[in-house]
Amino acid sequence: MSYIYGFTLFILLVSLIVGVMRIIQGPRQADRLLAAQLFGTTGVAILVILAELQPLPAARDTALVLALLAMLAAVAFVSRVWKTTSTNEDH
Amino acid sequence: MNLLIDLTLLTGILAIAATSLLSRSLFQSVIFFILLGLTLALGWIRLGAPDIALAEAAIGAGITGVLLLDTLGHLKKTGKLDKDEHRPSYPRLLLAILSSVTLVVLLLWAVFHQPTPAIQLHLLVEEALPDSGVSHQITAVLLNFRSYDTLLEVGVLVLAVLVGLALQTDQHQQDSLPGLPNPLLHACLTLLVPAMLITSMYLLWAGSDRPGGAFQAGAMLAAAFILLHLSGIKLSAQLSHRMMQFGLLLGFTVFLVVATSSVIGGRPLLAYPDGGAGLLILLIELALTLSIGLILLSLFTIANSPPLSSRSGGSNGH
Repeated sequence: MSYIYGFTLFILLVSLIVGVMRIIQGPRQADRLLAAQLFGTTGVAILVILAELQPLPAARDTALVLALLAMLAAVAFVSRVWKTTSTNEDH
Repeated sequence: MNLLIDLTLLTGILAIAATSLLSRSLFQSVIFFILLGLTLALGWIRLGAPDIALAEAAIGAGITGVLLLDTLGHLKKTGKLDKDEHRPSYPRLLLAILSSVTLVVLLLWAVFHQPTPAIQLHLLVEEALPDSGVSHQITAVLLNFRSYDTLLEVGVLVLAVLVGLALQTDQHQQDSLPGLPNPLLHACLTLLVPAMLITSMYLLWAGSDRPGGAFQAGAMLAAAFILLHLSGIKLSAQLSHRMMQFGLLLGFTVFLVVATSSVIGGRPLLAYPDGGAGLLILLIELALTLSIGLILLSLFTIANSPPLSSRSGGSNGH
C-alpha cells in the first residue's frame, strides 16, 4: 500500500515541477496565478497522502489550512493587481 | 522511494527559491514566493514538524502572498512601478550575494560543528509534560516552560502594529482601493468564511494535545478578515476605533495580567498556579488568537493606506 502512496506522491511532485514551466512561460499574469492555484490543489493532495505515508495525522490539518487559504491569493490578485494591469493595457 | 521523494522536494524548493530571486518580473517573483511557502510546508511535514508546517502554510503561503500582491497592486497604481522589469544595480547585487554566501557558510559551519548538548532538553520536556497543563509538547514549551519568550514575541507584534498606526497619516483614506462587488465571490464567502472561523477555533483547541495553537489560529482568523476586507466588507468600518484598539491589545494584556498576577501571589513571574495551568493557557490562547487576527488585519489595512508623500508625488507626476 505504501508503495502506491509513494508512487502517487512522486507523480504529484513531478506535476508540481511541470507546473513551474507554465508559471515561467505565462504568457499573461492570470495564467501564472492559475498555475499557482493548481499548485495549491496539488499541495493539498500531497499533504493528504503524506499524512497516510508518514503517518502524521497533523498533515491533514495543514492540508485543511492550505485548502482554505488558497483562494486568498486569487481574490487579492483579482481585486488589486489584475484591474490595474488591464487599465494599463487599455492606455 | 522516500529518498526519491525527498530529493524531488529538495530540488523543487531550491529551484523555486532561485527563480523567485532571479525572476525579472516582480509579479513572477511574488508568485514563486507563494509557491516557496507551499513547498516549504511540504518540506516541514517531511521532516516531521507539523507545527511549523501549519504556521508556514497559514502565514507563508497565505497571508504573506496576499500582502505582497497587494503591495504590487499599490506600486502599479501609484505609478512607482512603471514597467514590470527591474534592473538591480551591480554593487548592491554583489553585496547581497556576498552577504548571503557568508550567511550560508556560517550556517553550514554551525550545523557541522554542533556541540553535543549537555542537557537532553526533549527528555526534560517529556518529564515535565504532565505538570504543564497541556499534552502537546510544543504548546507546553511555548506557553508554559518558555512562556517568557512568547510574551515578548506578542509584545513585538503589538509594537509593530502601534508603529504602523502611528505612521498612518489619514484616517478617512484608510483604504484607497475598493472591494470587489462580485456576487460569485460573495456567495463563495458565505461558504468559506464560516469554515475558516471554525478551522481557526479548531486549531486553537487542537493546540492543547495536537499541533496547532494561537499563532496558527490567529493567522487563520486574519485570513478570514482579510478575505472579507478584500471583498468590500470592512471590519474596521463596522467596529469603532476604540473597540479595534481594545481587540489589538487584548491578547498582550491578558498574557501580562496572568504573568504578573503570579508575582502578586508570591510565585515567580509567569508561574501558573497548580492545577490551573491548562485553563489559564487556554484563556491566554483565546485572547491571543483574537488579537493576532486583528493585528495581522491591521497591518494589512495600514499597508493599504498610501503615505502622504507618495500620494502627492503621484499627483505631481501626472
